[in-house]
Amino acid sequence: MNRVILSFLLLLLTLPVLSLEIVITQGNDKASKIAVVPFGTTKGVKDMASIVEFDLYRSGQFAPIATEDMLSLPQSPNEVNFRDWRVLGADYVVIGQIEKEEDELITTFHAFDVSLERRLVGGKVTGLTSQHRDIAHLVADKVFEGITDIPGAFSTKIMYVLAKDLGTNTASWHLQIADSDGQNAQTVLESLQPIMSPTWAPDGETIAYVSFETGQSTIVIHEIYSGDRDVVANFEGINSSPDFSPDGKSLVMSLSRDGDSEIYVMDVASRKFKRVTTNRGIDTEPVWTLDGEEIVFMSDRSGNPQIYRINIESLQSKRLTYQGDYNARPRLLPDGKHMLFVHRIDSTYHIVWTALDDSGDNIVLTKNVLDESPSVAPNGSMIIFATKEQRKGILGIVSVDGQVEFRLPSSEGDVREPAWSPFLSTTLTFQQL
Amino acid sequence: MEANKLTTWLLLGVLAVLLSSCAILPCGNDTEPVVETTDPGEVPPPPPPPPPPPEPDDPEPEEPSPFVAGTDEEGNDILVPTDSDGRAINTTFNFEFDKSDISAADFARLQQIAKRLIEHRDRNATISGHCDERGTREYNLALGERRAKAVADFLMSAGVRESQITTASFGEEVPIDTGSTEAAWAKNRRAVIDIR
Repeated sequence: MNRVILSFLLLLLTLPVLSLEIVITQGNDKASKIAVVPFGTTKGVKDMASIVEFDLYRSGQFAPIATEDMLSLPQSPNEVNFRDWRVLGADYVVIGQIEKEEDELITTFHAFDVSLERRLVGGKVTGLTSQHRDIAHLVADKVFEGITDIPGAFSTKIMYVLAKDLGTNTASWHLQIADSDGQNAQTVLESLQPIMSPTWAPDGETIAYVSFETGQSTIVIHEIYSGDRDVVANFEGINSSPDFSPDGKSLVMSLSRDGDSEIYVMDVASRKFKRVTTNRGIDTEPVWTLDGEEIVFMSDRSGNPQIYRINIESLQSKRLTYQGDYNARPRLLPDGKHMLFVHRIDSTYHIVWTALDDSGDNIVLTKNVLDESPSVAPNGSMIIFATKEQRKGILGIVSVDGQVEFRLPSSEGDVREPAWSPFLSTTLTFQQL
Repeated sequence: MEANKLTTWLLLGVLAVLLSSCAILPCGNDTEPVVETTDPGEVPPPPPPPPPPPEPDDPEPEEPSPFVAGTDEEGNDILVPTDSDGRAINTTFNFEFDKSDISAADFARLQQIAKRLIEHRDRNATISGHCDERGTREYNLALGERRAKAVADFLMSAGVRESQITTASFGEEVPIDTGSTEAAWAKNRRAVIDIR
């Protein structure tokens, strides 16, 4: 784990820190009202209440109360007067204190339910002063879980491709990893050729993507912290769409080495390939089901792109989508019962979700013109996607209920193909109080 | 010595007289009639250019160069094939949305490119397939391959060897025009033949 910290610090030191800005485009009227009281801090230590507050806000489930409206500013549980918060209509109150000991920050926090007049959760997070934002995200995760019973995903990361100077012969592509709020972006790979389809291994330390650095598409497995890279598929034709199995031991992908695009499963250790699909037409965009027994993928075998599932042992397949003539790029929700995909309606492309067993209608989540590449947070609460606004590729985040939507534009170029990380191991220590 | 010098001077004197009297060379205004014009703006037509000096052995009309120097979309040096008149052929072929069929209007142009590659078996063609931004990126990577392969199949049917051809798909990743208009999309849906 020390190696992990060291490598991350090294990345921070050697690479420019570029961030995405968050722009809120749609808020939620039905959100619970929450008061995140400024934390008590010692001299020289920045408060983190605003980071906690913004995390909770962008989940779509909470509407923050402004500090100016607060009647009291408690820092410890015995200072909380529930009447002060009931008057404001607050459903929840979060308080905290930050202490500094040498290069460490010790943050204690508590969250209360105002109507029940009860403390819901509390804890102590210890980390380095340089981990200020990470500590805030972990506090937000614990508060979110204490209130909703769903683990928070604010401490996770997002990976995406930043393309600069597209349409010119100085175009460049940058594989970026940022905090889930778009801050603290770091460059993992730079190339003068396209980078596509980044995806996380379940360990959160290994990624795979498609790189064109040879002039052709190739699939690369890349260890983030060591920087070790390994080209695992460089066959004639296209090498596309990698996705790690839930146990991380296999990589499913689309290859056209035998003619047209077909789905193959590669054993990561032995590099042995198994062909899964056999038909005329494009088969691509494969993803594993949670049990690791089936692959959900897109095929145009019927004449237009539709989504199918196939069992990798029996090779029995089943069509999953029937509404519309363009359904593609599936991603499963963490419940294993629903999937997200790109659906075309009247020549515009939207992110929708539906039941895997085709028992319900499509729920339309995004309403722009060119929405694509959906990826879901590991707690299933938020979906990140790519879209285009005023000639620029930007990222959007939408709550799974469609209530809250954010934009994450980049000042530096076009951003696309976001991939939300799994839950990550942390170097912070957490103690329940 | 004195006698030789005198002869030289005499010869030079004769030459000078001959030149000044226009006996040998044409003398411009002295001999040409003055053209009378009423319109001061009108300029007399220039004299016709002298015919090219005749060569002793008239050669066959020269074969146009089969290729001319050019650059690919990234600015790298390539060879651009020429038609029978020696004009560079446009090696970009456009497609309909979500289609990989070559337009019948492009057959003649492809035939001319095939002819150059058949005449020059040492030349190789890289065919890149591209898509517009609509539709998912991974699907477009596969669609771009269909476009590149459609062009490759045409060239091979025309007699170009498989060993001369490499195909690559870039999907929608390398647009020429980053706009979201019909015109931009039409430009971006393309297969490009680069010959080296």
